[in-house]
Amino acid sequence: MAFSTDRRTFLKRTGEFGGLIAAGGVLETILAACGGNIPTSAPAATPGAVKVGNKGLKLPGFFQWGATSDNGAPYVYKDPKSGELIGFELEIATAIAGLMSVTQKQIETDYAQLNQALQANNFDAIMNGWEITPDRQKTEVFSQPYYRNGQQIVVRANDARFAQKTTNDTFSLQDLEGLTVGTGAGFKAEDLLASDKKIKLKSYDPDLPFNDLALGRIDAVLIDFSTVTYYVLGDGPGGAANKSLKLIGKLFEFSDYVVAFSKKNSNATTLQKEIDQALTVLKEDGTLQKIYKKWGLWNDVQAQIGIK
Amino acid sequence: MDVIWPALPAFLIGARNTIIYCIVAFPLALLLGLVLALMSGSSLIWLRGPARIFIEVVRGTPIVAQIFIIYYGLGSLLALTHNDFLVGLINSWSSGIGTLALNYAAYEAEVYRAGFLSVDVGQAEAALSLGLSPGQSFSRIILPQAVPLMIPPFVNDFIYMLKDSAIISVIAGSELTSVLNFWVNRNGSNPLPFYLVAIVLYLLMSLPVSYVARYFERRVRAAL
Repeated sequence: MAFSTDRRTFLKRTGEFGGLIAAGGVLETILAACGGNIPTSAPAATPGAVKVGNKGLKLPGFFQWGATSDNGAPYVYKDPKSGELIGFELEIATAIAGLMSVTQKQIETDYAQLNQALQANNFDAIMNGWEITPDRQKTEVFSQPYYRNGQQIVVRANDARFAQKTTNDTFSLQDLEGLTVGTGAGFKAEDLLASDKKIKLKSYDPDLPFNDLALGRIDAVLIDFSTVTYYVLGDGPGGAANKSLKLIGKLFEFSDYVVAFSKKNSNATTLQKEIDQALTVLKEDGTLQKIYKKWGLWNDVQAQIGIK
Repeated sequence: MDVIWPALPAFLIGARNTIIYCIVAFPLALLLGLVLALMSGSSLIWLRGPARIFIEVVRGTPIVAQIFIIYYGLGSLLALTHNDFLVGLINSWSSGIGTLALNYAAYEAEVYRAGFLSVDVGQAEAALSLGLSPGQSFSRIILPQAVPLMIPPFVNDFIYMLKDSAIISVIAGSELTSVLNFWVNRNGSNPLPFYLVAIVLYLLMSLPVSYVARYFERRVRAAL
C-alpha cells in the first residue's frame, strides 16, 4: 500500500503525535502526584502532654516509616473488614508522631528491600519487627528497643509426641532436632533453624506455615511470638484462633525490636535522639503496655526493657 | 566478593533443585501437550471440549493460583481421608513438578498445533492417497515435518520454566530463587554479589540448552 506524504505533513503529524504523548505523560504524573498516600490520623497532641522535637524528619510534618503491610499481621496490615491499615506498629508510630506533633505515614516497601530503601532515603526510619544483626549494624543506627520478642514453638494439638507439654516447659533449639520445622522466610527463626543441621527447615514465603502444620506436613513451627498471637491465638482484628494448634514451651532466643535509621542520613543522630525520647515517654506513661495488651503481645519480659 | 563463599554450596544445591524440577516437569509437559493437542484437534466434541477448556483455563490463570490450588486445595481434600500416604503424596516436590507440567502442557499444546498447521496440507492428502492410515500419516509424515518448527518454541519454554520454577518457594520448596532470597535477606547491606551469583548460575543452566537444541535442529532438518 503506497503511503505518500510530503515532508511538511509528516513533520506536522509527528509533532502532533509527540505532543499528545507528552501531554498524556504530564497529566498522568500530575494525577499520580496528587493522588498519593493520604496520611491517616491527625496529630492528637493532648494539652499539657510532653513534647518531643521533630527536627530530624526528612519531610516536615510527617514521620515516614518503612514497613510491609502485605502479609504483615499483626505489625501493620490491612483490616480484612474495612481495608484500613491497622497493626500494633501502626499504633506505636501514631503515638510517636503525636508526641512529635506530626502525622505518621507508612511507606509500603518490600521486606527484603527495606535496608536498601532506607539507604536510598525513601523514608525516615524502618519499623517492622526490625532486629539488630551484625549485617545491619554496618549501615544502620538503632533506637532503644520497643518490644522484647521471643521465639515460640507451635505444634498440632493432637500430636501425641507433645501431649504432655505445655507453655510452662522449657524448650530450646536442640529439642527440635530430627523434626521438620517450618517458619517464614526472612524471620529470625529461619536463621536459628538453619544453623542446626539436624533440623529439617522449610521456609514459607509469603504465606505462613500454620496451614501446613495443621495439615500434618510439618512437625512444628518456630516463629516470632507476635506472629503466633495473631495466627494461632487470634488476638487482634482479623485474627482467628486456630484450635488445632497449641503453643508449647516458654519463649526463648529473645531479641528486641528497634527503629532503624540510616548512617548515611545527616539527620540520623537527631532523629535517633527524638525517637528515643518519644519511646521513653511511651514506656513510662503506659501507652506501650496498653497497645501490647490490646494485641495480646504483653508478657513479663517487657519489663526488662523498661516498659511499665 | 568473599561474602559469597559460604553461600556457594547452598546456591549450587538450589541450582541442582531447579534443574531437577525442570528436567522432570518438561518432558511430562511435552507428553501431556501432545495429548492435549491431538484431543483439541479431534472431530469428537467430547475430546475437543475438555481439551480446549483445559488449555484456555490453565493459560489464562496465574501459575501461583494453580500451585496453591494443588498444594493447599488438593492437600486439604486428601487430608480429609486421614491417610498418611495420600497426604504425603502432595509435597512440595510433587506439587511443584505437577503444576509446572500441567501449566506448560497447555502452552505446549498450542505450539504443537502451530507445528501441525505449518505442514502443507498436500502432505496429508498425499499420505491418504497412498493408502496410509490416519495414524501412520500422522506419525510418519506430519509429525516429523512439524518437529523442526517446534524446537525453538520448546527451547524457549524450557528456558522460561527454569525461571518459572521460582514459584516453588510459595509452597516452601527450595530452589535457586528461594536460596537467593534467603541470602539477600541476611545481607541487606550488600545484596549485589548474591544477585550476580544467581544470574551466572541461571545463565549456566540455560545456555547449554540453547546450543544443544540448535544442534538437534540442524540434524533434524538435514534428515528431512
